Amino acid sequence: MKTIAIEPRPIELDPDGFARRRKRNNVILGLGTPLMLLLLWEVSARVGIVDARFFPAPTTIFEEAGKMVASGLLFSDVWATLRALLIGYALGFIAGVATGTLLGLSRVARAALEPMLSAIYTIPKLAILPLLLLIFGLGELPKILLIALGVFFVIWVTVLEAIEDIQPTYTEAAHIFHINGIQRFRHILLPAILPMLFTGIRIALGTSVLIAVGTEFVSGDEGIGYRIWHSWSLFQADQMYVGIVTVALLGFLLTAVVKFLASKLAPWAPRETRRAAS
Amino acid sequence: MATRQPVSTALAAEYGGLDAAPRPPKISVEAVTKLYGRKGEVRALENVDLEINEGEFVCLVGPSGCGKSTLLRMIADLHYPTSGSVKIQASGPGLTTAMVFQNYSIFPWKTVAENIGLPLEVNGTPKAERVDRVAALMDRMNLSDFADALPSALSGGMAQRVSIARALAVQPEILLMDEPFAALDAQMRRILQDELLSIWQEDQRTVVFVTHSLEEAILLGDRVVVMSARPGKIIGDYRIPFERPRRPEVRGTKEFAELEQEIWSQMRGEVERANK
Repeated sequence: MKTIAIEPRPIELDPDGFARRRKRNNVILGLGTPLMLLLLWEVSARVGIVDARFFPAPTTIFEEAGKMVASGLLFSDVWATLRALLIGYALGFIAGVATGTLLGLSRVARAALEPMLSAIYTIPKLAILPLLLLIFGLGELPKILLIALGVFFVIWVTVLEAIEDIQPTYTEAAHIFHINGIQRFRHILLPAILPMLFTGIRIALGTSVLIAVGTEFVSGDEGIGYRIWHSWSLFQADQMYVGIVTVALLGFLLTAVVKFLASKLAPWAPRETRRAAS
Repeated sequence: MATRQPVSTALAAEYGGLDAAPRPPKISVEAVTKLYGRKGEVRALENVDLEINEGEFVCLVGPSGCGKSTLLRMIADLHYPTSGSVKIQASGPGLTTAMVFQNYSIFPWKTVAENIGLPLEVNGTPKAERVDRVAALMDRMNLSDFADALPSALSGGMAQRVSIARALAVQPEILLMDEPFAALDAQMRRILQDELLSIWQEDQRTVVFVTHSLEEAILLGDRVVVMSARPGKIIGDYRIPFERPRRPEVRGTKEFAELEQEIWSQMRGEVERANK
């Protein structure tokens, strides 16, 4: 015979303190881990454990970034990439939501289009770039179109599946109260798919940054992707790292914006309510 | 508000528990208080004491939000008290508690037989024994025809049978049931109540059963413990006098109706207070 005792844990004894400590520890870990790694890198580069030509010390990279900011080079690169990203994303997103909704609501459209779209889905978008370059020539348009294409495919699949997952009781209630057409889209469909749509938006974000950088590698003469590629051909590792870190930051910031929007626009999503409760 | 009757002590005396060797109760809830929120602003349970003996079928009733499920989940090691403790006397090496949830909580990606056999599979029960036990349980619960069906193909009553069979498969010392029949239609609820009565009769396991239905509590339980509106306290502890093995027909007797009326008259005020 053994006695099992279920007793208060630290979190029950001092919930407020526990929550504060957890928050503080999260901040320390979130900032401390990358800082420690940077420090390790810095020391390794300076001592010569790693080859500073390939892995220049973070401070050297930071210095280079300072120069690039001062000359305006970094800003014009970021702007070139961001502009194409925003325009391409917006186009792909609108087309994706429209197509996904159409496929979700119309059996005919679905029968006609889904097999073809699904087949095209698996083609790597970058493989189409030469074709676009052939048709539209060098310049920004192929890049924007390719980003739009990448975003389009992620979004229509997400929207279609989200519409299929809508609980029948919601559509039935809409039917009973004669909520139809655009009203139905606005009051029922859009809110119902929103939580899943935001997941799609984040995935598409990753795809779009990848396509933007990949396109800039091979065509054009500006943008972060171009800068990274160009630094390689000039053997300028410092500049290359500035480019890589800038892309990472760009992705991070865009993701943060999407997360923030999700918490404001879809507060009823299960993950949001759980977050609010904890 | 009615005061708490010290029935559990009286009961123990009646059973000869106090005079015989001092055997600790199977479950002993000692001065449990549960607060929610960072500042402890929601008081779910306040200073709850409860003793449950081995082999007892105890029903917890009370208005919604009175903390009866919280108490059950503490016994299941899913929730923890803010102060006080829950002590359980475990006698064997196997699982001490198993729980049947209101929403079944069976896995939609596993068949009926796989769901029931899963706890046995993970605890290393030899395959031959596992297959036998699962087959016997499915037979007992009238699930044999559905062995290879996925839960999505089952009615609510069938799904809950799977959930009960899964809990029984591990032969827990204590069976915890959290409003297991609340989501079922009235007829199916009666059928499953009747089945539970006869299942209990076979091995007379310790059961803690949370319900908001007084009728269900009186039909199934040896004791009915009444809890107050939030913050939940124990305000009544009734011994159910109907003999075992208990027949479902007891529902229609005069004594049953009188007892239900008696407990309801105490509960009613609490239910009204909870909904204010």
